[in-house]
Amino acid sequence: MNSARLGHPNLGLGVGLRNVHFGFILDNSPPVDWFEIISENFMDSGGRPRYLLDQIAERYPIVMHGVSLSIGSTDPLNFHYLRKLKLLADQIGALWISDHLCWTGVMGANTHDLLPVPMSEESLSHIVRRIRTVQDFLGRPLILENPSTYITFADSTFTEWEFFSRMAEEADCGLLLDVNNVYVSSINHEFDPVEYIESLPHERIVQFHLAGHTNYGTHLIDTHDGPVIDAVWELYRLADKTTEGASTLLEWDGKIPDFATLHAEVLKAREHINVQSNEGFTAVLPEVSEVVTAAISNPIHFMIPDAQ
Amino acid sequence: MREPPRDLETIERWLQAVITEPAGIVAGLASEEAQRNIDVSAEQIEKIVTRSNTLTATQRLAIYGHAYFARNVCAPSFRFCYTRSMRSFSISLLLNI
Repeated sequence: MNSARLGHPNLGLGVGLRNVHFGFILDNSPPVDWFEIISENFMDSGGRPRYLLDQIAERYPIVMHGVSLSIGSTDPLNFHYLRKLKLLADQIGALWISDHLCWTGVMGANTHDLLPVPMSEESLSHIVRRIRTVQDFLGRPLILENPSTYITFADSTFTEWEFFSRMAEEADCGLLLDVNNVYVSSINHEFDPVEYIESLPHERIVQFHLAGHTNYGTHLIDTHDGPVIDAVWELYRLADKTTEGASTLLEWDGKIPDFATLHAEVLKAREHINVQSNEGFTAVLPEVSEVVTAAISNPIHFMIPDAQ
Repeated sequence: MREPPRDLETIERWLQAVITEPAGIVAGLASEEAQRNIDVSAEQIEKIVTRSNTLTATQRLAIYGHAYFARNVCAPSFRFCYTRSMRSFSISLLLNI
Protein backbone atom coordinates (compact mmCIF):
# COMPACT_ATOMS: atom_id res chain seq x y z
CA MET A 1 0.00 0.00 0.00
CA ASN A 2 1.44 3.37 -1.00
CA SER A 3 1.25 6.41 1.23
CA ALA A 4 -0.94 9.25 0.00
CA ARG A 5 0.50 11.20 -2.94
CA LEU A 6 3.41 8.73 -3.07
CA GLY A 7 4.72 10.48 0.01
CA HIS A 8 4.81 13.94 -1.56
CA PRO A 9 3.48 16.86 0.48
CA ASN A 10 0.24 18.65 -0.27
CA LEU A 11 1.70 22.02 -1.21
CA GLY A 12 -1.65 23.81 -1.21
CA LEU A 13 -2.78 26.15 -3.99
CA GLY A 14 -0.31 27.20 -6.65
CA VAL A 15 -0.19 28.75 -10.10
CA GLY A 16 1.80 28.18 -13.25
CA LEU A 17 4.82 30.49 -13.37
CA ARG A 18 4.67 32.62 -16.52
CA ASN A 19 7.24 35.21 -17.44
CA VAL A 20 4.76 38.12 -17.56
CA HIS A 21 4.49 37.79 -13.79
CA PHE A 22 8.19 37.51 -12.94
CA GLY A 23 8.54 41.17 -12.02
CA PHE A 24 5.42 41.26 -9.86
CA ILE A 25 6.41 38.11 -7.99
CA LEU A 26 9.93 39.28 -7.26
CA ASP A 27 8.79 42.77 -6.23
CA ASN A 28 5.83 41.71 -4.10
CA SER A 29 6.40 38.13 -2.92
CA PRO A 30 2.67 37.32 -3.18
CA PRO A 31 1.37 34.69 -0.73
CA VAL A 32 1.15 31.86 -3.28
CA ASP A 33 1.80 28.40 -1.88
CA TRP A 34 3.93 27.15 -4.79
CA PHE A 35 4.75 27.47 -8.47
CA GLU A 36 4.95 25.05 -11.39
CA ILE A 37 7.32 25.83 -14.25
CA ILE A 38 7.28 24.52 -17.81
CA SER A 39 10.49 22.50 -17.79
CA GLU A 40 11.46 23.23 -21.39
CA ASN A 41 11.31 26.99 -20.84
CA PHE A 42 14.36 26.80 -18.59
CA MET A 43 16.29 23.72 -19.66
CA ASP A 44 18.22 25.50 -22.38
CA SER A 45 18.09 29.02 -21.06
CA GLY A 46 20.64 30.63 -18.87
CA GLY A 47 20.93 34.36 -18.44
CA ARG A 48 18.12 36.44 -17.08
CA PRO A 49 15.26 33.87 -17.19
CA ARG A 50 17.30 31.42 -15.19
CA TYR A 51 18.51 34.15 -12.82
CA LEU A 52 14.89 35.11 -12.13
CA LEU A 53 13.83 31.48 -11.68
CA ASP A 54 16.61 30.89 -9.18
CA GLN A 55 15.39 33.85 -7.12
CA ILE A 56 11.81 32.58 -7.17
CA ALA A 57 12.96 29.06 -6.28
CA GLU A 58 14.66 30.48 -3.19
CA ARG A 59 11.30 31.80 -1.95
CA TYR A 60 8.73 29.21 -3.11
CA PRO A 61 8.43 25.45 -3.64
CA ILE A 62 8.84 24.65 -7.34
CA VAL A 63 7.72 21.64 -9.36
CA MET A 64 8.54 20.95 -13.01
CA HIS A 65 6.01 20.18 -15.71
CA GLY A 66 7.23 19.09 -19.14
CA VAL A 67 5.71 18.85 -22.60
CA SER A 68 8.42 17.04 -24.57
CA LEU A 69 9.15 13.73 -22.84
CA SER A 70 7.02 11.89 -25.41
CA ILE A 71 6.65 8.85 -23.22
CA GLY A 72 4.23 7.22 -25.66
CA SER A 73 6.41 7.58 -28.75
CA THR A 74 7.88 4.57 -30.48
CA ASP A 75 11.06 6.57 -31.14
CA PRO A 76 13.88 5.87 -28.67
CA LEU A 77 13.87 7.85 -25.45
CA ASN A 78 15.83 11.09 -25.72
CA PHE A 79 18.53 10.80 -23.07
CA HIS A 80 20.00 14.16 -24.01
CA TYR A 81 16.66 15.68 -23.02
CA LEU A 82 16.51 13.58 -19.86
CA ARG A 83 20.01 14.67 -18.78
CA LYS A 84 19.01 18.32 -19.08
CA LEU A 85 15.74 17.66 -17.26
CA LYS A 86 17.52 15.97 -14.37
CA LEU A 87 20.14 18.69 -14.14
CA LEU A 88 17.55 21.45 -13.94
CA ALA A 89 15.51 19.56 -11.34
CA ASP A 90 18.61 19.09 -9.19
CA GLN A 91 19.72 22.69 -9.56
CA ILE A 92 16.43 24.31 -8.62
CA GLY A 93 15.38 21.69 -6.07
CA ALA A 94 12.21 20.71 -7.91
CA LEU A 95 9.95 18.66 -5.67
CA TRP A 96 8.74 16.49 -8.53
CA ILE A 97 8.80 16.20 -12.32
CA SER A 98 5.69 15.68 -14.39
CA ASP A 99 4.82 15.32 -18.06
CA HIS A 100 1.91 13.92 -20.09
CA LEU A 101 0.67 10.54 -21.23
CA CYS A 102 1.14 11.29 -24.90
CA TRP A 103 3.60 11.27 -27.75
CA THR A 104 4.89 14.35 -29.55
CA GLY A 105 6.38 12.81 -32.69
CA VAL A 106 8.03 9.86 -34.41
CA MET A 107 10.86 9.36 -36.90
CA GLY A 108 12.76 12.19 -35.26
CA ALA A 109 10.00 14.74 -35.78
CA ASN A 110 8.41 16.87 -33.08
CA THR A 111 4.86 18.01 -33.81
CA HIS A 112 4.88 20.08 -30.60
CA ASP A 113 1.55 18.60 -29.69
CA LEU A 114 0.31 16.17 -27.05
CA LEU A 115 -0.92 13.35 -29.26
CA PRO A 116 -3.02 10.47 -27.90
CA VAL A 117 -2.09 6.80 -27.89
CA PRO A 118 -4.48 3.91 -28.47
CA MET A 119 -5.57 2.55 -25.10
CA SER A 120 -4.33 -0.98 -25.79
CA GLU A 121 -2.22 -3.68 -24.14
CA GLU A 122 0.62 -2.94 -26.54
CA SER A 123 0.61 0.78 -25.70
CA LEU A 124 0.43 -0.01 -22.01
CA SER A 125 3.41 -2.37 -21.94
CA HIS A 126 5.44 0.00 -24.15
CA ILE A 127 4.73 3.00 -21.94
CA VAL A 128 5.26 1.15 -18.67
CA ARG A 129 8.70 0.00 -19.88
CA ARG A 130 9.64 3.55 -20.80
CA ILE A 131 8.39 5.05 -17.56
CA ARG A 132 10.53 2.60 -15.61
CA THR A 133 13.57 3.54 -17.67
CA VAL A 134 12.93 7.26 -17.15
CA GLN A 135 12.39 6.80 -13.42
CA ASP A 136 15.62 4.83 -13.11
CA PHE A 137 17.45 7.60 -14.94
CA LEU A 138 15.91 10.46 -12.97
CA GLY A 139 16.14 8.61 -9.68
CA ARG A 140 12.62 9.58 -8.72
CA PRO A 141 9.03 8.66 -9.63
CA LEU A 142 7.64 10.26 -12.76
CA ILE A 143 4.26 11.97 -12.48
CA LEU A 144 2.09 11.69 -15.59
CA GLU A 145 -0.91 13.81 -16.55
CA ASN A 146 -4.04 12.95 -18.51
CA PRO A 147 -4.09 15.34 -21.50
CA SER A 148 -7.23 16.61 -23.18
CA THR A 149 -7.80 14.58 -26.32
CA TYR A 150 -9.83 15.07 -29.47
CA ILE A 151 -9.74 11.63 -31.08
CA THR A 152 -10.02 8.05 -29.89
CA PHE A 153 -8.84 4.95 -31.69
CA ALA A 154 -10.95 2.05 -32.89
CA ASP A 155 -8.24 -0.33 -31.64
CA SER A 156 -8.49 0.87 -28.02
CA THR A 157 -9.51 -1.87 -25.62
CA PHE A 158 -9.39 0.10 -22.33
CA THR A 159 -11.11 3.17 -21.08
CA GLU A 160 -8.72 6.01 -20.36
CA TRP A 161 -9.14 5.60 -16.61
CA GLU A 162 -8.46 1.87 -16.82
CA PHE A 163 -5.31 2.62 -18.80
CA PHE A 164 -4.11 5.24 -16.33
CA SER A 165 -4.80 3.01 -13.36
CA ARG A 166 -2.91 0.06 -14.78
CA MET A 167 -0.08 2.26 -16.00
CA ALA A 168 0.38 3.84 -12.59
CA GLU A 169 0.34 0.51 -10.76
CA GLU A 170 2.57 -1.39 -13.18
CA ALA A 171 5.12 1.40 -13.64
CA ASP A 172 4.91 2.48 -10.00
CA CYS A 173 4.57 6.11 -11.04
CA GLY A 174 2.46 9.03 -9.85
CA LEU A 175 -0.49 10.75 -11.49
CA LEU A 176 -1.22 14.38 -12.18
CA LEU A 177 -4.99 14.54 -12.46
CA ASP A 178 -5.99 17.42 -14.69
CA VAL A 179 -9.60 17.88 -13.70
CA ASN A 180 -10.35 20.22 -16.57
CA ASN A 181 -8.92 17.69 -19.02
CA VAL A 182 -11.16 14.97 -17.59
CA TYR A 183 -14.13 17.23 -18.20
CA VAL A 184 -13.03 18.28 -21.71
CA SER A 185 -12.37 14.70 -22.79
CA SER A 186 -15.59 13.46 -21.18
CA ILE A 187 -17.57 15.81 -23.39
CA ASN A 188 -15.50 15.10 -26.50
CA HIS A 189 -15.65 11.33 -26.05
CA GLU A 190 -18.94 10.97 -24.17
CA PHE A 191 -17.81 9.23 -21.00
CA ASP A 192 -18.70 9.72 -17.36
CA PRO A 193 -16.11 11.96 -15.64
CA VAL A 194 -17.29 10.88 -12.21
CA GLU A 195 -16.56 7.23 -13.00
CA TYR A 196 -13.17 8.33 -14.34
CA ILE A 197 -12.18 10.12 -11.14
CA GLU A 198 -13.62 7.52 -8.80
CA SER A 199 -11.81 4.68 -10.59
CA LEU A 200 -8.24 6.00 -10.35
CA PRO A 201 -5.73 4.79 -7.73
CA HIS A 202 -6.16 7.83 -5.50
CA GLU A 203 -3.04 7.30 -3.42
CA ARG A 204 -0.99 7.83 -6.58
CA ILE A 205 -2.47 11.24 -7.39
CA VAL A 206 0.26 13.72 -6.47
CA GLN A 207 -1.18 16.86 -8.02
CA PHE A 208 -4.26 18.41 -9.61
CA HIS A 209 -4.46 20.80 -12.52
CA LEU A 210 -7.29 23.26 -13.03
CA ALA A 211 -7.82 25.48 -16.07
CA GLY A 212 -10.37 27.09 -18.32
CA HIS A 213 -11.44 25.73 -21.68
CA THR A 214 -13.45 26.88 -24.69
CA ASN A 215 -16.80 25.49 -25.78
CA TYR A 216 -17.15 25.32 -29.56
CA GLY A 217 -20.64 23.94 -29.55
CA THR A 218 -19.65 20.55 -30.97
CA HIS A 219 -16.67 19.92 -28.71
CA LEU A 220 -14.45 21.49 -26.08
CA ILE A 221 -10.87 22.66 -26.49
CA ASP A 222 -8.42 22.92 -23.62
CA THR A 223 -7.42 26.55 -24.10
CA HIS A 224 -6.20 27.63 -20.65
CA ASP A 225 -7.46 31.13 -21.33
CA GLY A 226 -10.17 31.79 -18.80
CA PRO A 227 -11.65 30.98 -15.41
CA VAL A 228 -12.48 27.47 -14.27
CA ILE A 229 -16.13 26.64 -14.98
CA ASP A 230 -18.57 25.40 -12.34
CA ALA A 231 -18.72 21.84 -13.70
CA VAL A 232 -14.95 21.52 -13.34
CA TRP A 233 -15.11 22.87 -9.80
CA GLU A 234 -17.69 20.17 -9.05
CA LEU A 235 -15.33 17.51 -10.35
CA TYR A 236 -12.48 19.05 -8.37
CA ARG A 237 -14.59 18.73 -5.24
CA LEU A 238 -14.99 15.03 -5.97
CA ALA A 239 -11.27 14.62 -6.71
CA ASP A 240 -10.35 16.37 -3.48
CA LYS A 241 -12.70 14.16 -1.52
CA THR A 242 -11.54 10.89 -3.04
CA THR A 243 -7.84 11.69 -2.67
CA GLU A 244 -8.12 13.48 0.68
CA GLY A 245 -6.38 16.41 -0.96
CA ALA A 246 -3.41 17.04 -3.22
CA SER A 247 -1.36 19.98 -4.44
CA THR A 248 -3.59 22.04 -6.72
CA LEU A 249 -2.38 24.23 -9.55
CA LEU A 250 -4.14 26.66 -11.89
CA GLU A 251 -2.86 26.87 -15.48
CA TRP A 252 -3.58 30.05 -17.45
CA ASP A 253 -1.71 30.37 -20.74
CA GLY A 254 -3.77 32.58 -23.05
CA LYS A 255 -5.17 36.06 -22.32
CA ILE A 256 -3.16 35.93 -19.12
CA PRO A 257 -4.61 38.22 -16.47
CA ASP A 258 -2.73 40.21 -13.87
CA PHE A 259 -1.31 38.21 -11.03
CA ALA A 260 -3.98 39.20 -8.52
CA THR A 261 -6.73 37.85 -10.79
CA LEU A 262 -4.79 34.66 -11.42
CA HIS A 263 -4.19 34.10 -7.74
CA ALA A 264 -7.79 34.87 -6.84
CA GLU A 265 -8.96 32.23 -9.31
CA VAL A 266 -6.97 29.41 -7.72
CA LEU A 267 -8.00 30.54 -4.24
CA LYS A 268 -11.58 29.69 -5.22
CA ALA A 269 -10.49 26.09 -4.67
CA ARG A 270 -10.81 26.72 -0.92
CA GLU A 271 -14.60 26.68 -1.36
CA HIS A 272 -14.41 23.14 -2.75
CA ILE A 273 -11.89 21.49 -0.45
CA ASN A 274 -13.27 19.18 2.24
CA VAL A 275 -16.80 19.47 0.84
CA GLN A 276 -18.71 16.22 0.99
CA SER A 277 -21.56 16.68 -1.48
CA ASN A 278 -21.21 15.60 -5.10
CA GLU A 279 -24.69 14.50 -5.92
CA GLY A 280 -26.19 14.53 -9.35
CA PHE A 281 -23.21 15.55 -11.47
CA THR A 282 -23.78 15.03 -15.17
CA ALA A 283 -21.37 16.06 -17.87
CA VAL A 284 -23.24 17.40 -20.86
CA LEU A 285 -22.07 19.72 -23.58
CA PRO A 286 -23.46 23.08 -22.52
CA GLU A 287 -25.31 25.19 -25.04
CA VAL A 288 -23.27 28.04 -26.42
CA SER A 289 -24.95 31.37 -26.89
CA GLU A 290 -22.27 32.60 -29.23
CA VAL A 291 -20.25 30.61 -31.73
CA VAL A 292 -16.57 31.10 -31.09
CA THR A 293 -14.46 31.48 -34.20
CA ALA A 294 -10.81 32.00 -34.88
CA ALA A 295 -9.93 32.80 -31.30
CA ILE A 296 -6.21 32.24 -31.27
CA SER A 297 -5.63 31.98 -27.57
CA ASN A 298 -2.26 30.45 -27.17
CA PRO A 299 0.86 31.06 -25.20
CA ILE A 300 3.11 31.82 -28.13
CA HIS A 301 2.84 35.53 -27.65
CA PHE A 302 4.21 35.59 -24.16
CA MET A 303 6.79 32.90 -24.71
CA ILE A 304 8.19 34.50 -27.85
CA PRO A 305 7.36 38.18 -27.77
CA ASP A 306 8.23 38.71 -31.43
CA ALA A 307 5.81 36.07 -32.71
CA GLN A 308 3.01 37.47 -34.85
CA MET B 1 -15.25 -8.52 -39.84
CA ARG B 2 -13.07 -6.68 -37.34
CA GLU B 3 -9.49 -6.23 -38.49
CA PRO B 4 -6.57 -7.12 -36.22
CA PRO B 5 -5.20 -4.13 -34.28
CA ARG B 6 -2.36 -2.17 -35.84
CA ASP B 7 0.89 -1.94 -33.95
CA LEU B 8 1.63 1.28 -32.09
CA GLU B 9 4.50 2.36 -34.32
CA THR B 10 2.34 2.03 -37.43
CA ILE B 11 -0.47 4.08 -35.90
CA GLU B 12 1.88 6.83 -34.76
CA ARG B 13 3.60 7.09 -38.14
CA TRP B 14 0.23 7.15 -39.86
CA LEU B 15 -1.26 9.79 -37.58
CA GLN B 16 1.77 12.04 -37.86
CA ALA B 17 1.63 11.81 -41.65
CA VAL B 18 -2.09 12.61 -41.70
CA ILE B 19 -2.08 15.64 -39.39
CA THR B 20 1.08 17.24 -40.76
CA GLU B 21 -0.04 17.26 -44.39
CA PRO B 22 -0.34 20.94 -45.43
CA ALA B 23 -3.22 20.24 -47.81
CA GLY B 24 -5.46 18.93 -45.03
CA ILE B 25 -6.66 15.70 -43.51
CA VAL B 26 -8.16 14.11 -46.63
CA ALA B 27 -4.95 14.77 -48.54
CA GLY B 28 -3.02 13.50 -45.54
CA LEU B 29 -4.93 10.23 -45.59
CA ALA B 30 -4.03 9.83 -49.25
CA SER B 31 -0.37 10.79 -48.76
CA GLU B 32 2.34 8.30 -49.56
CA GLU B 33 3.61 8.14 -45.99
CA ALA B 34 0.14 7.61 -44.52
CA GLN B 35 -0.77 4.99 -47.11
CA ARG B 36 2.51 3.18 -46.55
CA ASN B 37 1.52 2.70 -42.92
CA ILE B 38 -2.26 2.29 -43.08
CA ASP B 39 -4.01 2.02 -46.40
CA VAL B 40 -7.31 3.63 -45.50
CA SER B 41 -9.42 6.21 -47.32
CA ALA B 42 -11.50 9.03 -45.88
CA GLU B 43 -14.59 6.86 -46.30
CA GLN B 44 -13.02 4.08 -44.25
CA ILE B 45 -11.41 6.27 -41.62
CA GLU B 46 -13.64 5.08 -38.79
CA LYS B 47 -11.81 1.75 -38.91
CA ILE B 48 -8.94 3.67 -37.28
CA VAL B 49 -10.36 6.77 -35.56
CA THR B 50 -13.82 6.82 -34.05
CA ARG B 51 -16.38 9.57 -34.56
CA SER B 52 -18.29 11.33 -31.79
CA ASN B 53 -21.94 12.30 -31.65
CA THR B 54 -21.06 15.72 -32.99
CA LEU B 55 -17.94 15.36 -35.15
CA THR B 56 -16.86 12.92 -37.83
CA ALA B 57 -13.52 11.16 -37.48
CA THR B 58 -12.08 13.44 -40.16
CA GLN B 59 -13.25 16.56 -38.35
CA ARG B 60 -11.73 15.29 -35.14
CA LEU B 61 -8.40 14.63 -36.85
CA ALA B 62 -8.55 18.15 -38.27
CA ILE B 63 -8.36 19.57 -34.75
CA TYR B 64 -4.83 18.20 -34.55
CA GLY B 65 -4.07 19.01 -38.18
CA HIS B 66 -5.02 22.64 -37.97
CA ALA B 67 -3.23 23.02 -34.66
CA TYR B 68 -0.05 21.81 -36.32
CA PHE B 69 -0.59 24.28 -39.13
CA ALA B 70 -1.33 27.14 -36.73
CA ARG B 71 1.84 26.53 -34.78
CA ASN B 72 4.03 26.45 -37.82
CA VAL B 73 2.48 29.59 -39.28
CA CYS B 74 2.43 31.50 -36.02
CA ALA B 75 5.85 30.61 -34.75
CA PRO B 76 8.05 28.81 -37.24
CA SER B 77 11.18 29.28 -35.17
CA PHE B 78 9.61 28.25 -31.90
CA ARG B 79 11.42 25.27 -30.44
CA PHE B 80 9.30 24.49 -27.43
CA CYS B 81 5.65 25.04 -28.01
CA TYR B 82 3.40 24.67 -25.06
CA THR B 83 0.68 23.54 -27.33
CA ARG B 84 -2.37 22.54 -25.40
CA SER B 85 -3.86 25.96 -25.87
CA MET B 86 -3.38 26.18 -29.58
CA ARG B 87 -6.25 24.31 -31.03
CA SER B 88 -8.75 27.12 -30.92
CA PHE B 89 -7.34 28.44 -34.18
CA SER B 90 -8.50 25.30 -35.88
CA ILE B 91 -12.16 25.84 -35.32
CA SER B 92 -12.77 28.40 -38.02
CA LEU B 93 -11.09 26.03 -40.43
CA LEU B 94 -12.81 22.91 -39.24
CA LEU B 95 -15.46 22.92 -41.92
CA ASN B 96 -12.90 23.46 -44.66
CA ILE B 97 -11.21 20.10 -44.36
